[in-house]
Amino acid sequence: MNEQPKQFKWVGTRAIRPDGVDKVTGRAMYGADLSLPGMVEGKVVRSPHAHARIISIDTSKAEALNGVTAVITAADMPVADSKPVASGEAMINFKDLANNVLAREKALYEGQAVAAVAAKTADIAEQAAALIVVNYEVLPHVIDVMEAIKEDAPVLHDDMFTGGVKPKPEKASNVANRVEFALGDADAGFAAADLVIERQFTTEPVHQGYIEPHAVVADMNPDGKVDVFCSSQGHFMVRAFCSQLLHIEMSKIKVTAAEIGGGFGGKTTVYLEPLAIMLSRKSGRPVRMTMSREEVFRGSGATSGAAMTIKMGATKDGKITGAYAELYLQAGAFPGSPVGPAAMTAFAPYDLANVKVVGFDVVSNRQKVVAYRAPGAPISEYGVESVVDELASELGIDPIEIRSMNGAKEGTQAAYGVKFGTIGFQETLDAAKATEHFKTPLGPNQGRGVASGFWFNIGGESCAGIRINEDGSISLTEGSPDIGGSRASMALMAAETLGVDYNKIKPSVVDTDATGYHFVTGGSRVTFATGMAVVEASKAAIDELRARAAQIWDVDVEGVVWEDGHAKPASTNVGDFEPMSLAELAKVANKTGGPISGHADINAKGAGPAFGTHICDVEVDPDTGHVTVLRYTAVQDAGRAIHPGYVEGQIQGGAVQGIGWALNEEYIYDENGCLENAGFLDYRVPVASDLPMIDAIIVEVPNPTHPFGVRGVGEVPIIPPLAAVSNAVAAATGVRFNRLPLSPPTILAGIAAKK
Amino acid sequence: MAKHHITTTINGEEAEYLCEPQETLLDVLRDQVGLTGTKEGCSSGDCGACSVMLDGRLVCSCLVLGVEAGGKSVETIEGMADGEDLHPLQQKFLEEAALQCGFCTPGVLIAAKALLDTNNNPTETEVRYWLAGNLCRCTGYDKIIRAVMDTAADMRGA
Amino acid sequence: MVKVTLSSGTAQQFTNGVTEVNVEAKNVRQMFKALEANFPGLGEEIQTSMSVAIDGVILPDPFLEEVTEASEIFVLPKIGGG
Repeated sequence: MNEQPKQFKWVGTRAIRPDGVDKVTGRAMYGADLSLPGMVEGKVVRSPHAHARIISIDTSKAEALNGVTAVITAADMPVADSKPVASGEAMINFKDLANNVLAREKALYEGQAVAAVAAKTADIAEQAAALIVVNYEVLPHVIDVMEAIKEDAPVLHDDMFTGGVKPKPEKASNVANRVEFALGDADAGFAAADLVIERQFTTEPVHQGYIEPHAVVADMNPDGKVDVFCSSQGHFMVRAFCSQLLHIEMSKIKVTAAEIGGGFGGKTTVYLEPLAIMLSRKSGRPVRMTMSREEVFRGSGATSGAAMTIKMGATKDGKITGAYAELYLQAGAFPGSPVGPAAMTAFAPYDLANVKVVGFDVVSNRQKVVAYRAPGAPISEYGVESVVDELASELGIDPIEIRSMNGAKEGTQAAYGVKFGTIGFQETLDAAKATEHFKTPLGPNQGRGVASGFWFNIGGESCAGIRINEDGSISLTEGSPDIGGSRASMALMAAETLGVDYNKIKPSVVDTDATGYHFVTGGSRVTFATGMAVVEASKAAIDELRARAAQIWDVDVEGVVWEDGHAKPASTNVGDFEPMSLAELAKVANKTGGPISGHADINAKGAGPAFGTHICDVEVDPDTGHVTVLRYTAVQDAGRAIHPGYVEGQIQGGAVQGIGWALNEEYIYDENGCLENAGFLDYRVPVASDLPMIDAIIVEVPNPTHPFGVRGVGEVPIIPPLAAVSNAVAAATGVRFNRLPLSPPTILAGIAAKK
Repeated sequence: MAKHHITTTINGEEAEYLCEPQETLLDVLRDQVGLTGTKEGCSSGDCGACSVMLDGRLVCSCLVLGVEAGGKSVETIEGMADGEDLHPLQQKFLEEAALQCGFCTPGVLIAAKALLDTNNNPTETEVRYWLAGNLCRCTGYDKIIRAVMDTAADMRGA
Repeated sequence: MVKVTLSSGTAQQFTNGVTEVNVEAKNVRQMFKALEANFPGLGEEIQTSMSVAIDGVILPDPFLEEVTEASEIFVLPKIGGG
């Protein structure tokens, strides 16, 4: 860890967020809030079939409708090569992305876009969409992951052969890829165990459920320049993807980040943006497109449903000797489920000598899954944390104790290879054990569950600029869309580093023309990586301020130090100078070389892995099967909480999304592969009356590579709830369900079967 | 289709607009009147992001027609602060980090104000049930509920 | 020589199941070249679609880093997040 004062003045305070007043008064501009002169409205035509060949599309009637300005189909879009391209974190096959944005030969899921229209009003656009005649040849479909891997399952892509296996298969299948991680010998581990438990689990597909539907305004000029205003987790991602898909140079596309109404990973790709640009090009007008809630559920976001086998063995005294996991995750219509991270995280909280994990990426006729908070980890860790709980209960060991005994520490080699540096898993277990919650007795039909979770956290590209204005106020620019208070964290870190008042700093998330490439707001990276850029930019500005003071004092720059927002002589040997404040130096900047600024463009390395441990109390109504969450405590190692209020908020919000995944949320398909619950009434996210307070406990084991010790917080809290809730339900009912969601019918059937 | 000429009061000021008979109050507010603080999250009355007050009653503006607002009084998030002075709920939401993305916030604030206007001493359960129609996906509701309870306590003390 | 550890899945594809391979390299660029020379396809695969962890730090875009005999080097899939 860098030399830092023990006490911070700004870091760790609960400052008012700089964008706060705009957001409580309705002034903040989200994706759908922009109107431009002459703007028309776009509408997407979507496939009503889960799997169908597109024979023909007749757009003539729509084009003839009065008020329609443009109609597009895949024929209007450049044909993309089927070739993976490194794009940020992942490999993107732009042929798949292009087909997902606008289907070319086949519709692979209900809700896939097949055409789009623009018209003077949303009403006319809707009428025009209804006039587009798509002739389909309906094909057999498959949704469920275990059905999709069967020999006789309908094959989605006849040119897809399972990767990750040798030799390459000769027959196309729905298994896109196989991954495997092993350490030691899992079978030897099971042979050394006194107790081996092997269970099968299933989880259903769930949606990120951001309240703001996808929205964009695009305006293409006759000279080929494009302005895009949209809600996304990364306006540089939008620029890169639109550039690739539409063959427009990046410098011609300017994307401005709207305020974003939630994303949770679901806004890390494009849906409407390329369509809006194409419609604007054809219309010669700005085009606005917004998804309805139904379109959000059918055609965007969502993560995998999964099936898995988890096997773990332990000695009588609780030492885990062997572990095995086999994971099958839905990718949706195109390859790319989060099975890799699911496999890597599955056993990561534990110090295991003998472990093997095999994972399969399986396509099926659902929307292409996209990142959802700690992608893959809630699924695999749900299975593992359920088996760990069962081991503890069979062996008569406290559930926190068994995790402490086997928990990863500094130097532990994770099953996916890497040896952990400084981590705080043990500290979260100790803090959980010390809570009054953990010691409180329970009543009849009540149960308590414990579970832990791990996520890597990531770094990546970020940039920051500090401009010191003539009056000593500071403009801070960066390009990470602020999804939950990150402007406040950036300003706090800048204030701390520069030694100036937080309120003197105005942070802005600027457009793609005004700063360098930023990786998306995701992977719990912004406070870590963009924060690191902000600190480096602040330090660069300090160096410049010191140089200016050195000029004024006629001394060497080494003779000037920066303390508490002032340039000071390093020692009495340098001379007897009155310290100069940042504002004083700013005032005379014109005489000392012009405006003062500091910049940093970085690819942040050294993200700190993070762990959490949750405790959940439930009461199960034996007559209705309804589960009430009575009490919930979530402990997490944040490394350093820059703004504790927003750190707690991440922990609480993530925990509740996990509770929803465990209890209520699931995609329900009919026999035609069509989604039956594409609305908030039937896809039930947790509401205020479903929940107790969520006690968030922040543990701080600083990440040595970050100037303030930040690890990142957003992902971990969604991981433990799935098992914490189901372990609590098992304790309350005496039944281990091993499937999610734990909806009342499932619970009632389980209780009845036990009797 | 002939548009209807509607006269109404929005945030205490007389307002008029032309709207199609099928247009919702939500669309009118956002597209005709230019008040985009009221948000659209579902258009089916399930999420509460479009909550406004209509003649003193809390409604989802996506379930009300623009023509229905004729002769009535509409209060939106834009009218909640008194000039530069935030309403105590708005202030408390900022102090207690009761918003993350902020998209549900206007609807939550309108609904919470409606509660406190009639009950300045609600229990936690009352607040939770009152706000059950306002979905928030970011916060897990904890800080929202606390902020409403704390505002009520302040208002009682004042 | 530096020791590079592969996941068992990657090893099955490229190195006949050997998870620890030794190559002559002073930095990551040389390591990729040496891996590609010894195990055709492996160096390319890592560069285009995988991350490398060196001494516990996961690097999504490794290239310039120096490596020594003492370095702990693991090859793993790229990691993103929500």
